[in-house]
Amino acid sequence: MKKKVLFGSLLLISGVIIFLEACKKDNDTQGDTIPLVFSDLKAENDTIYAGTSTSITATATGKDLIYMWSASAGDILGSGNTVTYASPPCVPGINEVSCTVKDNINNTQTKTINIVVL
Amino acid sequence: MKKTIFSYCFLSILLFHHSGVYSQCFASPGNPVAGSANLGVLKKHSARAILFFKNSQFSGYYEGDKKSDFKYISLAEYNYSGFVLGYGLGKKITTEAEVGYFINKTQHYDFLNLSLRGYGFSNAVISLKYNIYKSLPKEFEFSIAAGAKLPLKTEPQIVNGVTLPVDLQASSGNFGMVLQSFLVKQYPEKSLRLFLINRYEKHFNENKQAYVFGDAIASSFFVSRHLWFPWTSLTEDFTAILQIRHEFKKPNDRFSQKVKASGSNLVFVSPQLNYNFSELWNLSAIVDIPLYQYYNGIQLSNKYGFSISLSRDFGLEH
Repeated sequence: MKKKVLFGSLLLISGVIIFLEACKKDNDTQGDTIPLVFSDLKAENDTIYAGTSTSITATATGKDLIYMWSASAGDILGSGNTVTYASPPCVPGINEVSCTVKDNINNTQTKTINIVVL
Repeated sequence: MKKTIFSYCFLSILLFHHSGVYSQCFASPGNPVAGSANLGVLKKHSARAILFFKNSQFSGYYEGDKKSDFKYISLAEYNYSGFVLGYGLGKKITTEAEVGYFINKTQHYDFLNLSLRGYGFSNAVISLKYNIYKSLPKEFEFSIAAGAKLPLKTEPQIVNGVTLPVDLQASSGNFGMVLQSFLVKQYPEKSLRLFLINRYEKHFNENKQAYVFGDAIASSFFVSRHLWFPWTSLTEDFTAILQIRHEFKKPNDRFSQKVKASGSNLVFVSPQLNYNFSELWNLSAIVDIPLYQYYNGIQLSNKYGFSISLSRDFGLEH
């Protein structure tokens, strides 16, 4: 009889633990599904002179976002969702600045803006 | 002794043929230092290893041959380490391989106290050198070399999520070729050597940042004197070298368009001191000083360069 009670108790405790773990995983899964939305990519000034700079901000929502930046020409300084785009004298014209945002499950979205360098 | 040292002395002439001096916006198309000191070919089955380090600094802008008020980068610099291995395949033919690593390639900006840093492997150069003419009585030698330039990395470097500009990429990303000629005339009775080295470099493909570095031509004239004097033995292991170098670089292409602020015409003077020990080892120090600088458009100019190299010969008994 005692053995049955002990076995029943262990079974119950195991069930509770499994239930709690399952609930925890459910919560995580809910977090994983926060959709990635890259809503805006905006420069403080979209026309600059060579030798000057402007800040560029990416606005996005999602989980554990990573921002990756590149420019067709010119320099990108800083990191994260706001960077500084700077133009050396050798790249006048229309230069593209791209930002790719990646979330925790490797979804990506990319936006590009043009900066005119005079 | 004098003759022996003079014969074996590997004059560690570092060819700054395409150092950052080709900077348009600090971009350099290849390894800062290349070429071995042996301006002729190595003896059959002998080898030479060279390890070198170079620091170069750039500051101040030029427009044409005049200083400009333009402000953008306050200081750019790189520290580069390279390794060259040469081997005498035959009596008249030598093969050489060079690889290099940028410890850093850094730009400090005039605004916001910001800087960017690139690093990594540069390019490899594999070449064959052939001795066309050699006259022992005339102490005269003429050799040519042809080689392939291979980028050790073709994908642009990304640091903290930011793709670095082409100026800071360690590898040019361009495949290319290098042609060279070497003229050597010696005056053993005066412990004197004269060298003339010409180098032409061409890049073929557009790299991943849509960049093709322009063709480059460099001519260097060297005067080297073994510091042997009858009244002292203190300096007998030293050689002084003075180099005058002209470098011409055509503009670069980006997206198949000429980059206006690229390409240059530069003249340098480079004093060098070489120390030979055990007749196998050589230690060299060299300073690179710009004498004349002309840049297309507005470009960051050269300040100075400093290099140190250590080399060793193997199998000279053959």
